[in-house]
Amino acid sequence: MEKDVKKEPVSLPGAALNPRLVLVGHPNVGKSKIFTMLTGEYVIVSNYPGTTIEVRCGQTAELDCCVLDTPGLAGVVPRSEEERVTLQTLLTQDVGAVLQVGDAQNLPRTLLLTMALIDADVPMVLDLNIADEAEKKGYVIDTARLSKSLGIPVVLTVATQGKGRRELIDALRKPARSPLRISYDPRVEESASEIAALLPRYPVSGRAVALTLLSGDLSLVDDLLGKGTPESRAVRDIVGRTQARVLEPLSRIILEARMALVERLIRECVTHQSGKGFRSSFAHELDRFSTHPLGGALLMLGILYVIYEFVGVFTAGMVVDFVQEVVFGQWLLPPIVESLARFPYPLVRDFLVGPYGQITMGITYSIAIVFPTVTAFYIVFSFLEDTGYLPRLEVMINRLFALIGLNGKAIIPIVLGFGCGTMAAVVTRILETRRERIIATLILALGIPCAPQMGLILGMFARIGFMALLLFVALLALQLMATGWLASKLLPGQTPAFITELPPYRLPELRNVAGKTAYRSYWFVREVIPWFLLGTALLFVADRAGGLDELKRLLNPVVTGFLNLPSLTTEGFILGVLRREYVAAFFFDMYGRGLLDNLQAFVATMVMTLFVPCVSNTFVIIKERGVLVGTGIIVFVFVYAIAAGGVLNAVLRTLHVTF
Amino acid sequence: MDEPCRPCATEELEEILEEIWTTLETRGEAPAAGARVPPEAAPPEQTEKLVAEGLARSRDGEVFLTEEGFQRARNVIRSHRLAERLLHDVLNLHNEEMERSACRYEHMLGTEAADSICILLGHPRTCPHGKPIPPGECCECCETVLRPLVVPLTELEPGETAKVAYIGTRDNARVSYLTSLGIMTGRSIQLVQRRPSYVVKIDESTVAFDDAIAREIFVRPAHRVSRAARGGGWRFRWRNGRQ
Repeated sequence: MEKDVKKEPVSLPGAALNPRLVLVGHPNVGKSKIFTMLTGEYVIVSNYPGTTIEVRCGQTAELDCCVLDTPGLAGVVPRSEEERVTLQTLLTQDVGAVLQVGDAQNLPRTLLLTMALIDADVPMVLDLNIADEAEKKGYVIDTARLSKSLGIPVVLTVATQGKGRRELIDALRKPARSPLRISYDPRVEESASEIAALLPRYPVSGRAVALTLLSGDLSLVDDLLGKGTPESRAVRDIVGRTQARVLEPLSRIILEARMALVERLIRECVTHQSGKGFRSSFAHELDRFSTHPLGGALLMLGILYVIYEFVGVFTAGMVVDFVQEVVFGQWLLPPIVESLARFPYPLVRDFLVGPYGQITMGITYSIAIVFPTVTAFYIVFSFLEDTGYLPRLEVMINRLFALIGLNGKAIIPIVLGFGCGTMAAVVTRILETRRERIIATLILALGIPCAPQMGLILGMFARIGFMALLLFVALLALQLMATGWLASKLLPGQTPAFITELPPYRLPELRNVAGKTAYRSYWFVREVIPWFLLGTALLFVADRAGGLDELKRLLNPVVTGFLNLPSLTTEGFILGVLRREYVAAFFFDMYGRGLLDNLQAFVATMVMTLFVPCVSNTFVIIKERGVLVGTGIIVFVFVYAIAAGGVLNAVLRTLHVTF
Repeated sequence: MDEPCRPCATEELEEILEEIWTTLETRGEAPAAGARVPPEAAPPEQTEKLVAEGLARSRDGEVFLTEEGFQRARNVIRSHRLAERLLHDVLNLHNEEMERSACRYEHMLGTEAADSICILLGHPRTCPHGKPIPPGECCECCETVLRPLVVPLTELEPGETAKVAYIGTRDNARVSYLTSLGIMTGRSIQLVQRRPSYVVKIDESTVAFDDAIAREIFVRPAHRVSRAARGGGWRFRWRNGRQ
């Protein structure tokens, strides 16, 4: 999930390879898996809509073209930023052919999108994926007949098992333009040709773009033609005029014409033998249980508890102890320190193995403390992603989120924030309005600990106690809700209605979970360890130059006075600005060495969780939300974290809370 | 409603009131007793007729609706839009045919007949064009004895299956999205649960949404099952293991 944060959406490398094959389809039908099947390139895939939010480019050995993987398109009319990216791709790239990936069990809507692509008049191939589940459910699809009726190649695949790859490649060698022409209401047709005449040349037919504009809202016109341009005004005018002439919403008129054809095709080409139950009664009951008001809440708590036990107690406790104390403390470090003891230059020696040494601090923290914890977290997380549980959380949380101006969908970026806040800030694109994106970003920046932090917090609370953890979570949630509520009152606008599709529960494939975990852990090693080394180097230099003590003395009134924490924690906060994991590892180590008591650990953890997001997260927030809003969020978070920590400390001490 | 009702010009006064009402709506003003009649809605010779009938009164060169005029306009609009709903949803007439008939019905339907249609249709809130239907007395006591033919999804019991009658929104993006999820006229839909969010099954998809969306999906329940016969929802089924 940490892939390619910096890549611009539609400007792509490999421009020499023309033309492009664009993968298009509904969310969660397996486009990314097909992409991997075709190109052999690894992309993160999961069982929930919206895993892919940016365009990816890859190459196939068998086909002389560049394959583009796009975010899922729910309707023909895009609703959120990432859906617009898909539309933009079709309009701006040199589209050689389109491969529509669809769900074989959900043929009506798959074909409905096919109709829109047929209007676009591009060479295409239809791939019906997840054919195994469709078969188990008793659907028999006559692909030969469907292909003949549509006039385009149609293939069945099971991308998760690599089935149907050869057939798909063969079909992709001869994509075809469908000879079908759907006829719409004459008034719609007339307006569509009027609009098409005003449009610039696109790789897809002007008629299709015109129909999309007619069935979309007016803001789409501005998006494509520029706000206030003569063309934009003219098109808006035509859309408004056409809508006034017909009774029903234009989108419905257009969709009904397409649907009529789809229904005929389905009657001809699909037979359904019911009775072959596919979903086990267990999956069925689990489905009901996990969205039930009480059952769902219990399940949520249960999952939290499992995470606590596995990541906190087992990994951050036992595994980290072993790696830190035994592997590093007894086996690795002593010989290294000893061999360097005779090294002639003390400065170099201290740089490597001193109190702020690259090996003794940088490497030890990142490899011994953070790496096992974050890997454990990624395992749980990847597993959860593949079951299809995450969208069920949306159902549970929707009403609660309505209080803070978000709808259930926002739980996806928030939950991803427990993996990596940087990625989560990008994923806020799946939200429909700017208002929601700002609120979600604010909550993410303020109080969602990322995977390593989360793991180490769990590790610390494994020693303080489960009740303390519950108090911590409750306090944090309360603050986030209050902040979100306030933000929703301050920002103008309304929360859009909540609607989402729930993918079926699937048993996660070990290979996919392992692959994702490995990919993410690898990313962690590559991206994060250099930051640890840099942070350690900075501390080393500051310490040598005497600046560190100066800074600590300067911050002492706040850290020791206001927050009641040892002066050493200042170093942790400085490191925290570089990487959020680092401060977590630092406090975890301090707590382990008995430099923090339980109460101090509680306060320090709260401040650290609320404290500013790390450097890369800050950059992404500013990039996604703009300089003004982005900076505003960061400044607010900084001030708030310190203030909240001070208040928490005072309250806990006044009430004589001991853990 | 969008095209003036020429064939029934005999009911001139009601037509004028109807025009005033829709003009006010289009301008975003709530029609009310005492509302100023926009000059573009009715030329002076028409407003004079209204004034003569006591449906409007003029002051300082401007014309205002009287209470009686407002009530009369409201009834005409209500009858017209309810008639449209009836023709569209139940009789499956579309466009011009529906429009022509609705124009005649609006002058024939009395308040009681309109209320009956309203009950039959399940107190619809908008006409097929998405414009609001002024509520009648029957809508206030919504505890319907007779189960209406077409109800919003919110009225369905968990476990019940129904056919989608229509989607009551003019939001194009939403219509497109719902359609792509398979929620479209004529499709069979099963309500799984109402809380904490609505969950429905259509074909092989499961879709979740909130009340705002559920209120916009109007369905024809397949057959009536009493609550007792079904065992009152999820908990009962859970205890029995299977449904």
